[in-house]
Parts: sequence; C-alpha cells; structure tokens
Amino acid sequence: MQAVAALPINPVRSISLVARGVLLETIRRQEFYVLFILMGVYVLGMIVTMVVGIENKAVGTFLLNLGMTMAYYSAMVLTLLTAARQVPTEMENRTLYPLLGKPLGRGEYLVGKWLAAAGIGATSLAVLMALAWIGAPRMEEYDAMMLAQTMILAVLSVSMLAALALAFSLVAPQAVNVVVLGLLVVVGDAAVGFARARIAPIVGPSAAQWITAYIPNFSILDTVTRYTDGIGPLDGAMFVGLAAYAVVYTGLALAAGAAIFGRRSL
Amino acid sequence: MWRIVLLGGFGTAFALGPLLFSGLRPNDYKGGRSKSIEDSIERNTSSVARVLGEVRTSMSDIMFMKTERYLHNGIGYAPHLTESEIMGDAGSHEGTATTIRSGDSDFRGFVGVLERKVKPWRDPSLPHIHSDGAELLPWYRLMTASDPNCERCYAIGGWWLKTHNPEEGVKFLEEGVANNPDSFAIRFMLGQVLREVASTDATTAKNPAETGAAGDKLLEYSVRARDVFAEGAEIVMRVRYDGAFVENKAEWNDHVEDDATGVCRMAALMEEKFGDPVKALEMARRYHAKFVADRPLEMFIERVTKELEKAP
Repeated sequence: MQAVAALPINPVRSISLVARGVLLETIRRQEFYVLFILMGVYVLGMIVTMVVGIENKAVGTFLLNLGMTMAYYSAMVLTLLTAARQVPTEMENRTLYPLLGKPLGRGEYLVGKWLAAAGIGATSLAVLMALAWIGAPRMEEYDAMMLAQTMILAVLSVSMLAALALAFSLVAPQAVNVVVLGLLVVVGDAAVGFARARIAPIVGPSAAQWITAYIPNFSILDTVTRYTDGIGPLDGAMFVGLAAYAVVYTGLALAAGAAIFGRRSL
Repeated sequence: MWRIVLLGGFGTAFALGPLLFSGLRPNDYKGGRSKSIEDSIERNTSSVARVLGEVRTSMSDIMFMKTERYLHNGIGYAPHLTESEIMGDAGSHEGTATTIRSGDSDFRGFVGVLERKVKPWRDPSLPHIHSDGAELLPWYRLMTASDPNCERCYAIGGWWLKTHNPEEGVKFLEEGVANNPDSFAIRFMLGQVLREVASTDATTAKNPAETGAAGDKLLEYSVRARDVFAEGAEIVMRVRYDGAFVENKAEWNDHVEDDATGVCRMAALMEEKFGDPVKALEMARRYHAKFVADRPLEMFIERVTKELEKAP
C-alpha cells in the first residue's frame, strides 16, 4: 500500500481559517451591533445639536473629543469581550478538541484567534471613529498628522488588549479576565498611581516606580485628547517608542500564551 | 525553537521596560484647549454642559468638588468665593445660597421640609461652619494618585495635611514636586509648610543661631525652605511671560500670578535671612525685572540696599 505523503501544512492558511471562524461567529452573535447602536445614538445627538446650534468652538471640540473617546472605548470593550471568550468557550463547548485534532498547531490557533479579535477591534475602531469624526462639528484647527498617529496607536492598543485577553484567558476565569483588563483600560493610570503610592513607603519610591511600570498602561496609547487639544504630532522617537511598547506587550502575551497553551493538557 | 526565541526576545524587552519606556508620556504637555480657562468657561455655559453635569469633568476634578462638600460638613453651597469675601473674613460667607432651597423660597412644601431635615442643610443667612479638614485628606490622596500632575491637588492637600501632621505634609508635597518638576506652585506651598514646621516644632528656638536640637531643626528646615523657594523662583523666571500681568491670559490667571510673585519674594527673603544678603539682593533685582510693578520686591530691594551700604 502506497504510503500517503503528509500534506504540507501552510501556517498562514491555518491561521486565516481560524481567524475567519472567529469573524463569522462574531457576526452571528451580533454583539457589535449594540456598539453601533450606541454610536448611532451619539450621532443622532450630534445632528440634534447641530440643528439647535453649537454655541462656540469650545463646545464643538468637547463634542468631538466625547465622540472619539466613546468610539475608542467601545472598540476596546468589543475587543476585550471577543478575545476573552475564545478559548474558554471553545473548551466548554468541546469544539476545541476536534479543531486541535486537525493539523493545526496550538500557536497557530492562538495567533489566528488574536488576529481575528484584533481585526474586529481595529475595524470597529475605524468605523466608530469615522462616525464620531464626521458627525462632530470641527470648528477649530486639528493636526492631520496627529490624527493619523492617534488612529495608529489606537489600533496598536486594540491589538495589545486582544493579545493580553487571550493570554490571560488561559490562566484566569473569563469574568476575572474581563474585569481586570477592563479596569486597566478604563482607570489603569489612576489604579497604577494608587498602587505606587501604597507600596512606595514599603519598598521605596524608585522600586515602586519600577515595579508598577510593568503593569500594562493603555492610557499612553490614547492620544485622542492631545489631538482635540490641537497639540502637534508626536516626534518620531516618542511615536516609535509607543509603537514598540505596544508591540512588546503584544508579542510577549502571544509568545507566553503559546508556551502556556502548548504545555497545557486539555 | 522559534517559540523560545520569541519568548526570550520579548521577555527581555519587557524586563527592560521600565528603562526603555519610562519616558513615554505623550499626554504630558502644557496648554491645550481642555486646560484653557477661557475654553472651560465657554464650555460650562453651554447647553451641552448643563445636560451632562459633573460627568464632563475629569475624575480628579469631581473629587476636588467633593472636598468642598466635605469642608462644609455635607452642606451644598453655591459657588461663593468672590473678591469681597477674599478680602473679608473668609470663614463667614453669610448669605451664600445653598443648593437645597431655604423654606421661604421653596415651593415644594413638605417635600422641601423633609429634604432640609434629612440632608445636611444650614440656613444660608448663617455663617459657614468649616470642618477641620481631616475628612478631606483621603480625597487629596486619591486625586493625586489618579492624577499625579494635579498641582492644585498637591498644593491644597499639602496645606490641609500640615494642619494634622506637618511632617506628612512635607512628604506629600515633596512627592508632588517629584511628580511635577516644573511646578512652582507646589514648591511655594512646600516652602511655606517647611517654614511653619520649623517655627512650630522648635518652640523654644526662635533664632537659628541657638544651639541644641531645636535650633538645629529650625535651621535645617529653614535652609530647605530657602532652597525650595529658590527652585520655584527659577521656574517662574523660565515660564512666566515678560511684561505686566494680563488677567485671564490663557492659563496664567491671578491665582497663578500670586503664587509666582509669592515664591519669588520668599526666595529673596529666605536667602537674605539664611544665606547671603548680597545674593538675595541680586535675586530680588532679577525677579523685579520680571515683576516690574511688584511693590514688596521694590521695598525689599530698597531696604537691603540701605542695610548693605551701612554694613561695615
């Protein structure tokens, strides 16, 4: 009997198939429709405001900032919920085992899930930001380069969140994962500052600064207010540094997740 | 193999993160429309602001407003700091309207009576009663933890803290200086607290020439205060615009101008008392070139010049 030669496994194809599955499932669940409805309410509010009349430029800028901030946090919430449930849900529903029985590496599986969650987050971010930007009155000057940098950093922030949520989902219950990362996104800066203030008297201010610097800080990737404040673009070094920050956390989360998942008995 | 390489590479970058990424502060900038007083006034008078209420402010601003409520033992007053109240007795403020109406202007009948009994309320015609400030302290800790760049929170929080524990007040303000290296306002408050700690702690030592522990502490704190005021004055020289004070010029309002002139005056005064009078005179002349209309600096220059001329 002629031995059947093993088919070559294309990692890119494997990853894209996993990502496609997540995308189809997300569309089927219709979660992101809720966020679009919320943004729709905002756009409706903008239309009403424009009909009533914007009193001055400061109000116009405030509304632009409000819309863009809502868009950013909505995309982050969607990404977090999508990424955090992938592995736990598939394990509960027992759909993970036949999937891994196929010629699909665990690392490829994780990267595919990340790609899909980050892609969904980035797409909804782009659409929601466009709704917010187009819908708001722009009565003052805003820097176009700063807008581009804001969008790029927001996409990197979404990708970082997706990677962290996936990695944590391998070691923590889904609810804990969502709450902890959600808190880090919304009040991370304040929470880190509070933690630093509490531990500084014990370990010293320098050690406290060092230790708390490891906590993922999403607020440095959120430059919406800098954009609406009319401040100029970030210099090259700062922008590259911020991008590298997001890439390091994303890469570490994926690499650590793949290592944990590879050793985990299912 | 690739997995190990990637994990090692990213892990190393992560471990060095505090070194590599500590300077990444894209949202640390001066100015901006969200911090502009003029823009804030325009926003706050708009219909959108009235709809959104307190939600439009930041968390640290919301907490700051809370301290006002705690200061008045829970009674809600309308904004009441006016020029005449600053010049008069700041603790009285009789006649300031309360957020809950008084009986003679409340159309709600028994509902109004119930609200005045259940919630903290005081007849607006009576003087205000201020708490001792202890309940405000946790709010300032939370404010500065959530926003380490809130200069006002450090300055006012430090002032309240020194009334309960002066040494802790000094530590709190030093933390504020470390987090806000370009703030002269926090340095101004720190210098004043150091002077106050020195003078109240060393109750028997009034003269830094006195020997003993009390005299040493008085001198130590006074010299620290001198240096802190001098640092603050240098920052003022760097950031304050040239020319006379222009009211409501962007973020430089009259309170900021008061702090700026105050820190410069104290820098010169403390250098004269605890340093070199000649250097103090040079400093005062330099500051006066910026604050040309400042009469206390003029008087200081005249007095010190005469004293140095008389000195052997």
